[in-house]
Amino acid sequence: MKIKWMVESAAILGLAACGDVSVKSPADKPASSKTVAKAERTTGYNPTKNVYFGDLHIHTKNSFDAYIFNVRTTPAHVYRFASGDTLKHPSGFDMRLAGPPLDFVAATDHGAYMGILPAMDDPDSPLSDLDISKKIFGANDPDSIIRNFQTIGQSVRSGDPIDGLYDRDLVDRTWQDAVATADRYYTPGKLTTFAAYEYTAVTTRSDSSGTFAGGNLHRNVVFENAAPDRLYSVLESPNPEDLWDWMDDQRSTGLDVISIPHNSNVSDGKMFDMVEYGGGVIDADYASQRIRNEPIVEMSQVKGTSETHPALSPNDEYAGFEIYDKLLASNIESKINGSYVREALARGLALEAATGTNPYAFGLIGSSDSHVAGGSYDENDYWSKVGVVDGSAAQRGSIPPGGAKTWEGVERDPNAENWFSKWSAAGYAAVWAEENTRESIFSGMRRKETYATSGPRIRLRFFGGDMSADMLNAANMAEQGYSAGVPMGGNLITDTAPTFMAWAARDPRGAQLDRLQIIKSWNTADGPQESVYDIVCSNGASPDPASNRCPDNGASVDLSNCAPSTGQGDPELKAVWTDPDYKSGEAAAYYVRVLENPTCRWSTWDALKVGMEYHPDLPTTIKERAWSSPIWTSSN
Amino acid sequence: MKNLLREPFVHFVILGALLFVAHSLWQKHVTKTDRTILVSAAEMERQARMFANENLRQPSDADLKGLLFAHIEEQALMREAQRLGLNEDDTIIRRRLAQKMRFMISDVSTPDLAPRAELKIWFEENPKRFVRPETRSFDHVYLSPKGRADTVIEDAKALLNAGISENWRAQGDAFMTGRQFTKLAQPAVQRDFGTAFSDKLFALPNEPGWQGPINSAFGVHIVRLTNVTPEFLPEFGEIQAEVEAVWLEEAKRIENEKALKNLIEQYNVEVAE
Repeated sequence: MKIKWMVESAAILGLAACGDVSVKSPADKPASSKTVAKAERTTGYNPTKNVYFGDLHIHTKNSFDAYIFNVRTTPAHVYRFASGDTLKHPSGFDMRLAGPPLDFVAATDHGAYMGILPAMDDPDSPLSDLDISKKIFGANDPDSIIRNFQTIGQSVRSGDPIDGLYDRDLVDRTWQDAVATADRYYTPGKLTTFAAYEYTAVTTRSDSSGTFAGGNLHRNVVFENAAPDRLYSVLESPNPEDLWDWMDDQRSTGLDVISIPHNSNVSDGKMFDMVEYGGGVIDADYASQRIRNEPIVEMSQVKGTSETHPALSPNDEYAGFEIYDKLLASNIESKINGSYVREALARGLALEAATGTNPYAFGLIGSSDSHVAGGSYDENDYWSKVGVVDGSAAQRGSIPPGGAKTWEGVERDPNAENWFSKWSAAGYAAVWAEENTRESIFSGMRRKETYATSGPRIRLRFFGGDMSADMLNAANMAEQGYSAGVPMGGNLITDTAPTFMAWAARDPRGAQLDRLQIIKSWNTADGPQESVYDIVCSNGASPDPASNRCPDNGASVDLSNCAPSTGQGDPELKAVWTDPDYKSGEAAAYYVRVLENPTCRWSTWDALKVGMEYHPDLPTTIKERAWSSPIWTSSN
Repeated sequence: MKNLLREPFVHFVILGALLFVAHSLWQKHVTKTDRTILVSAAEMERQARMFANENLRQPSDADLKGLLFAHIEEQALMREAQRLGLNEDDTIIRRRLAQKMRFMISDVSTPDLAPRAELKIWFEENPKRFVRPETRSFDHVYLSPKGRADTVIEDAKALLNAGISENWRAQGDAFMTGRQFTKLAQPAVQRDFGTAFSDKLFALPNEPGWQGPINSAFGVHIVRLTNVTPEFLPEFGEIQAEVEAVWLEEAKRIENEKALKNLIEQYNVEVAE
């Protein structure tokens, strides 16, 4: 019933499209690929590394669902938006980055049916003559539109291509054009682009027959530089292990590639399972193939945060951050165990103890998953992600529906209520790299020297090893961190309690910082364990040694204008910290979480802009944050 | 003449004339054959081909009969709907037709690249689109306000007055994004230091030696400019590819607008009071 509504309004508006629907527009002519000689260094090269902010998850009209959301922008628009250009949202308003341009970006259209929907809607394409095309783009009957669009969704879910509609040549041409467009916009030293697509696998669930609901196993497949002529989509196989085989083959021909899982939060416990896809026991081959292909995970994006769930982390007061747990396009709750990163870090250590290799020793990034060619990273300028379906405040449930002036007695729209209002402003992928080139940023991701943010461009360093407190005051702190240990994403071998140095600096456009935390995840015979330590507080306060918590710094927000209180929080927080609870021989994963002072959530900004009441059941403020990739410790 | 034939507007007029002729013929045809559904052999062949594509086999006689019946049914329903004027106020049909026309216009009006000499003149007439903004390179010594919020500016002044040493890299506190910055335009400085710092840095006189202190979103900075490159216009030859891309985009936009304007001008527009 709910899916119906969503596709209905989208598809009707989809018919009203105007703009470029041909696959090969003159502006997208493939150009020769640029390569940079390894020895040639770009401006800004820094041996102790710069942090680069990017987005590795953006859809355009070439995605089967985005086209139905009335999106008509192309991969070229993704790169232009990333450089600071203005785009039109399908609902008619302008979208532009409020902050600086992105440093790196990838268009990641769904590989399955890539470019097919635009052709179905193009009177000059033979695909538009197909029955299903007429029923989606030529019909006036919403039920028929929905039914027929769902046929495509069902095909993506099952991995069985629809005969006649699955024009493989067209998919190949669309992909080759996307690769050429990424090459054309690659500007070493300024904007790094990657050839990439989304592998859109979903598991089925026995108790949800007849609905879309299933475990989300989506991954974005990102190539370092050159890419093959054909992509490998869920229509080849819905089993991610087959995707990794294909990626291993690509690597053996010299094309390096990684796949980045996302939305484990709605994977129904399948993303970080304790068994293989087919239910078999995880062995050393599986573990090493997985981590070779999937060194990082996208943890923060519009459809929620996958760090942890309050049910898994009852002692973490900040665990309930932008949680979204409904299986995609359904109201069925995703199974919690196996769906979140913090627990997966402990599971990985358990699997390492059993097989010798940790399949879940991954680093972290954030991204947008925008379906309108550009992410909305700022809470005060939010356009969600599914085009004409959630383009307005009323559609996404931040103000009352149907022009109502108050929430009282209003019949709430179930899609806005259960889905869109729970979504979150986009996150960022941050990578520490020597320079802004494909080679340098891709190596940063392979090293897992990356971190995720919920939207602000917080700067975050994290080192483990021979760290001492006087390094915090050294003018060359970062150099000393590198030479005395390993950065985020690294492994530390130690027989004594590990010591870490963490350092966060605020986003000059964002809020002051509240506290810096280290989160420890490990495994025992009783299963996954976790601890959260505040390691440095703002305003000169100290963590309580009994509770390991900072006092409340008193920061607040004036909800009448979203202005933050002044005088609380610090522009920078840094500390050296040794695990006080270390047990000899213990293997663990440690990562940093830094929290900002509270600021208005997007839904509060939406309501404030039109002078309406805030949604009574949504949080009015959030504490934005960044999460480092872990450092793993083990003993000799 | 050849040039004239390449003019999008000429294409447009020819297209319009053809449409007009076709329309008049159709009108006559319709009045004469209003109640006749003519199914041509070509139409049936087209239907048979589509059937073969979708079903991966040739249609049987029974299939052909089915296709013919479906086609006749569709034609009859469509004609009846037209007769009753159901197409008159249908948003989907209206937008679909407008969409098809818009494609036609944008296909017609894809301009060819202007010759090099012409491009160069256009480049010289539009320098603003290609000018490179001022960049500054600088070193800085950062003082964190941590633990000395009340005195940090005085501390910075004292440090500056005492003279920043050769060993400036070891002075002050570590700064997250480094101590030396090369050829940054204003937005890049804003990104790392905030707006207030960026404004002040770009207002500093271009002098050697340490200046400041300047406040940022993080604390206080003593700054030394190592290079100031004023905004400049690159040589045409160096950025010809960029000029071509911008010119083409612009030309296409202008042609599209012109074609649409010409189209609208063929109508009398009356807006009710």
